Amino acid sequence: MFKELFNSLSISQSILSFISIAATLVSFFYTKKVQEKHLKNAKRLKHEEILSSDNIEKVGDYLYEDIGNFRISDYTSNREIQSLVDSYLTKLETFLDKDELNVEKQENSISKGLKVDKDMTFIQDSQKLVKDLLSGENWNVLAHLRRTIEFLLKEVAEKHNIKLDSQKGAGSLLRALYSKEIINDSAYRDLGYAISICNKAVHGENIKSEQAEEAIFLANRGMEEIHKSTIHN
Amino acid sequence: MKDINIHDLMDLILADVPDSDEKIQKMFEWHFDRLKTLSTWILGTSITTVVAVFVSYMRTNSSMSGWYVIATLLLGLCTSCYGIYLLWVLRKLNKQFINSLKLHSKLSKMKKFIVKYQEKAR
Repeated sequence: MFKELFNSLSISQSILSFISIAATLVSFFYTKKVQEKHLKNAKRLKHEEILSSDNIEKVGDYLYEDIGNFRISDYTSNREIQSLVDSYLTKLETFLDKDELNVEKQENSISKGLKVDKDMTFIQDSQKLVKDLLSGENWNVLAHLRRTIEFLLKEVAEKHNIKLDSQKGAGSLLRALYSKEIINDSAYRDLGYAISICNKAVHGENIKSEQAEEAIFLANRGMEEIHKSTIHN
Repeated sequence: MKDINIHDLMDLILADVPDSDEKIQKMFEWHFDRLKTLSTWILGTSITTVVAVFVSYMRTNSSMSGWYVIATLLLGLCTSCYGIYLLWVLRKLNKQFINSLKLHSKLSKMKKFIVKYQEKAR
């Protein structure tokens, strides 16, 4: 009887050990495979490209789908994943909270003729931006406007041979140019207000289409003011 | 319980759950208990079968070679393989918990943006 018991115990033990070893190998290699797959997906786009796309869906999809698919265990055990996730979260945090600037509008009432009814001198694709506002793409429009203002202010700084940190956002650039008296009060107020609206929108606050359109108008007016004062100087 | 993903933390933020840190701690406690229980069962089964095989061998008066018995005992130890693997996974659970809190804190600062994105995505 004990001989039969011994034989059956040996057989069941063999089966259990086989299952255990198989489960260990499958878990280990499956984990590695999933990590590699998610890492490959996350590495296919550069972070700078995503953040300069001016498209909330692209920025958000990468955060929620590509970064979001990593498990906490992968983040903890794999340095490459940790570095990638930390890098994107840091860059996104900077992008969303770029240069807090709270400047009040010069006019007291809203929409006092501050409408974009033709293509503007400095914000060249303004008609398209207004169309996008009507389609509800406020985030995309204001992210694009902020980047345009940043680009234009960097050009102004270069023209005046002012060296600034290339990582600085539109708000910091504006403050720097104002402190060096390159731009006057009026331009500072117009651009400052436009930038604060853009920052609020990018951060995720609700901005009405009328306010967004005002921001486009005032950004262009501010740049025209800077251009006039540059010619006179 | 499935492993926690980073977008599970975002869902927690979107759901506006109060005391999220405590909820995350609870999730990790459940995860720890489950893995520890599973590991204990497997190691317990392994030791039980090894002991049962050994005892039954001693009672059989058989002429089986010692090698066969050693092989059977080794197989018994192999049964504990997955249990040991689970214990190895558990060793980093503290660090995973701290990293969850760190990521949750970073993502909370982006809550408004994540809400806006979800509205757009729907």
